Amino acid sequence: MACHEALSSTKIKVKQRSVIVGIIGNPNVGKSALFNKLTKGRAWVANWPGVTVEKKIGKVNLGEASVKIVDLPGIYGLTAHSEDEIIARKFLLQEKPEIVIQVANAVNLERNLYLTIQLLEMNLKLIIALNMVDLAEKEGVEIDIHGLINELKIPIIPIVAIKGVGIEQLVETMIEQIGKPAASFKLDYGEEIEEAIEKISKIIDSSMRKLDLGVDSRWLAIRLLEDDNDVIEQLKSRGLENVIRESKHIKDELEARFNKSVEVLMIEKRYHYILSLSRKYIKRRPDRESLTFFTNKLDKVLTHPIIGLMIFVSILYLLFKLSFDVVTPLTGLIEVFFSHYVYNLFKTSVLPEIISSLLADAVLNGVGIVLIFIPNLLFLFLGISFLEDTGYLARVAFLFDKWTNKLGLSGRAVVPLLIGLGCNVPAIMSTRTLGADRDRRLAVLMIPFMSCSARLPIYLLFTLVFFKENQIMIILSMYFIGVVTAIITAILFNNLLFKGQTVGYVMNMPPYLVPSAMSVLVKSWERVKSFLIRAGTIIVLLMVVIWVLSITGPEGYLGAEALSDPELLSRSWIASFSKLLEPLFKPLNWDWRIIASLMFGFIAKEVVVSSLAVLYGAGEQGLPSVLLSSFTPLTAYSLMAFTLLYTPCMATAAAIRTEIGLKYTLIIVSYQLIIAYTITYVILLIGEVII
Amino acid sequence: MDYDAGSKPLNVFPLSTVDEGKTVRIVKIVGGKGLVRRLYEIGLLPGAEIQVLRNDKHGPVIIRNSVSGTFSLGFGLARKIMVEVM
Repeated sequence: MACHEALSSTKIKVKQRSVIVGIIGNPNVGKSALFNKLTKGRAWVANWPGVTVEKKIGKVNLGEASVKIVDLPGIYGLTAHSEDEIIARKFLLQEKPEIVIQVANAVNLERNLYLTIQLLEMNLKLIIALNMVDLAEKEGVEIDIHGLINELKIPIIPIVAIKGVGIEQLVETMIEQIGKPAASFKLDYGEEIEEAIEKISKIIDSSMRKLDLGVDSRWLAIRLLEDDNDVIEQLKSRGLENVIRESKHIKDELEARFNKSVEVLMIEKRYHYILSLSRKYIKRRPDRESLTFFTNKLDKVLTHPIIGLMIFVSILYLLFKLSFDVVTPLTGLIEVFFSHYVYNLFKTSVLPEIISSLLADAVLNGVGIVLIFIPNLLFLFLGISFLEDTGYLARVAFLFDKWTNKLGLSGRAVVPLLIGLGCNVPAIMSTRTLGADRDRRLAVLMIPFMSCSARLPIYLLFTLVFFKENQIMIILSMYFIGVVTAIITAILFNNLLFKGQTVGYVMNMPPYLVPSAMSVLVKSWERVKSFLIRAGTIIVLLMVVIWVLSITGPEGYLGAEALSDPELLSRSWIASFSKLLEPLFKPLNWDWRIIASLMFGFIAKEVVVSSLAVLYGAGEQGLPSVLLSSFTPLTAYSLMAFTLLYTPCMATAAAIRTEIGLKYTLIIVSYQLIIAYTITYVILLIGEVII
Repeated sequence: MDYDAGSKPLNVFPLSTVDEGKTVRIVKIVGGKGLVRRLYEIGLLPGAEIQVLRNDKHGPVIIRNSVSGTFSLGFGLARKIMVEVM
């Protein structure tokens, strides 16, 4: 019986239709909240082809159909000028979604309707999910939804995404709409422009009867009048230069007649139409702007140039306290569990020595390094996602834009950069909130120079031995060198790599909202998961490589004891490479043991200390006296600076690769080595002159 | 003498110079097509009334209107939006 049932349900599955639904909308309208509600958290994250923008996909069953829901980037228009717009357009044209749900903000519906018009002009089957109707009501905004439905001929469903209100009705509407034809929509652009559209449509129709672009000629004509680069490229690649030429001619004629750009005219026409809708169907009672009132009051304080900055520093301090201090016991627990309990389990097992060492010293250590990050990462991301969802991060961007602007960076980059002081890994992952690819790359290039907490043990060891008197000043100088190098890096790469790509900054400041716990949790977990999976595999792999190079040498297998025996370790491949590199580091006066320690430092920066101890055969307690005999304060200081700058640690490098690709990871690592060498050398030169 | 207001825009200023708290009307956006389009798309087009919430006159500004909502614009952009005081 049960078997029979199972059989019939698989039969239904085979019959199910598979459809794609796209969720689109302006930034900050609650797209993600709706996506989470529709997919019930069962979603995964991928990248859009060729770019580093996140693509979120979820699968659900609606009635008879199995539906793939895709969350598109937040955009204001579909003109294909920003990366996000290009992604959204490509998706709409190429993946041909059965239904497009536009999430619109009921508080500022007019602005959202601009995108609605562009979507309707593409002849898409559109449903508007009118979000935040509760806030709109509080604000004194009254929307005649039935009037708008009659006018636009598409379903409009009022919802409150974070509270789950209206989701059922939205789902029912989606099921109803599957298989139905899309509503036809035509905006009247006025006699002259309509004439031009008609002419261009005819040219398109006559010259590409055989080519099916999947869109109608009216839309293509409108896009050509608006100088749409993407459409022009598409036509060019199909050998339709004549269409481009003729439409350009028609456009020029039109512009000469109006003495105004056609694009501007067309946007104005769309807004005229929106304002006519607004007059008919949207009423505002200005005496009841309670939400705006609250937001404005709060903004008076939070965006104040001095008070706002002080509040930001306090919030940052709390965030660090939470994610680095409060979770320390948790981190310690993971460390103890792995480096003692499970480690010894493997070490004392009956397995052959080499296998148990591989498992314990390489694989387990790698897994340990990955897992040890989880408490910090999770709490940092919870904090950041929370601040992001309240709308506060937009204010931080405003506070800092004046300064970062000079480096060619949007104010939004400040948050990831400061997080870098705690740990570079979440800092690099949080550059996802920056949007523009250029800004992201620049921020990612700068972050490894932010002195993270793992570098502190190195500073502490050396300052305790060499700079007891002014320990704090010396440590602070490290942070200073890091920040200055980051700034130099920004200026350098801005002029070299990203020249002329500066984008003027326009950013929505959403009203302050209490975030939904679900949204914050889902977002944070997605980020942690992506680190675990994508960075984790690379880290374990690299650990195995380093392990092999430490227990083997030119003379063959040395035995797993090499990891703790200075004499054996000096005959390993790592030692041989380091000795080979010794001449290169002659100007810095470093012997091979320092170079080898720095190589181990790639695993995690704090490992430099324990590696020095092993290589000098001293043990961590005896290390200070050994250091005193082989370093001067100046060489100690230069080594501190080198460790700060020389390479991102393995986890950071893995995060960089995940976020912006292997090419940039290699650029960053080699650039950092050069910069570290140069600055260390300069420090030595200056130091010798002073002393 | 010709006192045509259109040819002599005496009370037209860049947005970057407007005091906090003032409400102004956009007259013109001076700049490339891309910039004009971006601002138009969010509802900042000639005729739109905007309230200046934050402006220290040498950094980004925060503005608001009922159609667009609240936006922060970089200093460079604010200099290119010509407005008249109402």
